[in-house]
Amino acid sequence: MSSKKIKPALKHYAVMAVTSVFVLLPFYWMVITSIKPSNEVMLSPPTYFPKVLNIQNYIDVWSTLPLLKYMSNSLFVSVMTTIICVALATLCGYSISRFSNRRLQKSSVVLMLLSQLIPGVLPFISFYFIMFNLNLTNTYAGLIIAYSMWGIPFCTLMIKSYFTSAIPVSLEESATIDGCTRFGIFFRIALPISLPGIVATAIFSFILAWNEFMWASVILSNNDLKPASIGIYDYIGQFGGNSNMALTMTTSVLITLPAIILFAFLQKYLISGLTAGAVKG
Amino acid sequence: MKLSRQLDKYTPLIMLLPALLGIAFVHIYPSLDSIRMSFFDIQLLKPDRPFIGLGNYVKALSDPATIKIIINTLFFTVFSLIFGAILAIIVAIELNKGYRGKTFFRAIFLAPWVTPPLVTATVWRLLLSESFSPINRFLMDINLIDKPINFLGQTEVYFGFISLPMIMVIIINIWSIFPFMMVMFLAGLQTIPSELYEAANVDGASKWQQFTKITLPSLLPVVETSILLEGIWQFNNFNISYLVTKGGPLNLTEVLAVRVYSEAFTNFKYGYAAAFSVIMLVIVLIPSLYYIKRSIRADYSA
Repeated sequence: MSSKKIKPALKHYAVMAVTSVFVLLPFYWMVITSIKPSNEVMLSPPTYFPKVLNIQNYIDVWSTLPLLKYMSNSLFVSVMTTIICVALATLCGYSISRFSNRRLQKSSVVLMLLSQLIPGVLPFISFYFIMFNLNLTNTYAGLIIAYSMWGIPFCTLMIKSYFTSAIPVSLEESATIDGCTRFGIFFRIALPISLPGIVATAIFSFILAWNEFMWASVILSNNDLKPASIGIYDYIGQFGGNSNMALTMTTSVLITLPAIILFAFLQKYLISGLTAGAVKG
Repeated sequence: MKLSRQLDKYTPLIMLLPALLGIAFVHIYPSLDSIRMSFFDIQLLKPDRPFIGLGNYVKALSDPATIKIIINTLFFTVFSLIFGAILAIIVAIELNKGYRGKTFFRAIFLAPWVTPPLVTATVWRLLLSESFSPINRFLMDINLIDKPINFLGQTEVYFGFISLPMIMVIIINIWSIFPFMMVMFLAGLQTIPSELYEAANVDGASKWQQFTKITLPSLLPVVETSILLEGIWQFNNFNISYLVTKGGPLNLTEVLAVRVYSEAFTNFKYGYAAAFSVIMLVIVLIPSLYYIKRSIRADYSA
């Protein structure tokens, strides 16, 4: 092989290696700390690798924290959010992309952009009172309504550009002539073709709900309802800073790992779903 | 049959309505209501809530800490964006070259995106701590420093607003936001036809020329959109500053969103907090209006 080919390859893998170190360092330290025996954790300066593998931390965390409960709360809230958000965003995005010359559709785009640009904390304070007066604090519904609506503007814009660039209008016109209603066209033609775009949108809204911290910490005080993103906060706060690093890191590993593994499998849909949509930018 | 034809006329509207109502209920109405609240003295333990005009604003802007927090927020936003975008674009271009292992690396690089902010903050706090940090140990092992650095506790300030804790908070933030930008750029890159590069190669264009003449212009719409959206999101970012340092030490890393949150949900001064959030709105309004105008033009004149 000529040096002309080797040099770019070296550069490529150098970039990959440096970025990997930056990205993986926190995960590495999380795992390493979680499997250190208790006397080794408190060593300063710390050891890079544990001398012996120790799973006692995992047993301790599993038996003291309702992690499964937190995770299933997270999963329920995120899945419900995704379903509602994707359903509404898909309908709306379709309408905007297919009837883009109408006034209402045009102003909807402006509304979507505007709501995306409002600082998140501006509606936050008033919205808290609304949810409080509707008795929706300390409910799953309070979380799901907020998350799914927060996700709608971005998801709508994303799926709209997918519809615009991925589905030829001529295909739909011939279906209209065949006597299909607009809903029929939407369900039988538009939806199946734009599945990749819909999956990408779904991943986006799922992550939004899965990671959200601020709203959940404000409206939830009932421990039984807490999702993982805030459930472990009390725990970490309780033991504070460095006093029980090993348990804190063990908890972190346990709640992060499932999402990362799931995501590693889904990531190819994310890219392909965004790609067709990105044609028009 | 006739009825369904009639109904069909309204289909576009019926499809639109649920999402619009949702946005009105969650974004538009509460935003307007928060603006109204900012003119009142609303506190949890005070039963009467008098109209005080610009009182909250006067109080907010006459607090010397406010200007500092605004500068912190802008510094945090701009530097997270610039360096996050540069990292994202470099990695996206490399991933797009089709070398072996690209799916593997892509999966790794996306991991920070799915990591809950609380976990991100906790791990990084440990990584940057004075006594238990492997980074400190490494720097000492290679004799770069002789005693551990307390990365998040230094209180020296340079040029009036740059401090070590703030730089660390920005690095942590870049770690968590670059995957999203990377995905957007990667999607944008994949839509550039490879014939363009082949033609450029035949014409003898250098790699740098190809980058500035083909890659960058084709990516520009995606870059612009992601940077503007990401900019607004980062301007509103609450998680990193709150969870890593609680705004400290000495509000060196405090940003506006944290101030709004603590005034509203720790001090229970809702009116005052609302005034702060309106100040935030005014600051983002300028780039926002440009963005809206641009996207509408791109959508309807093309």
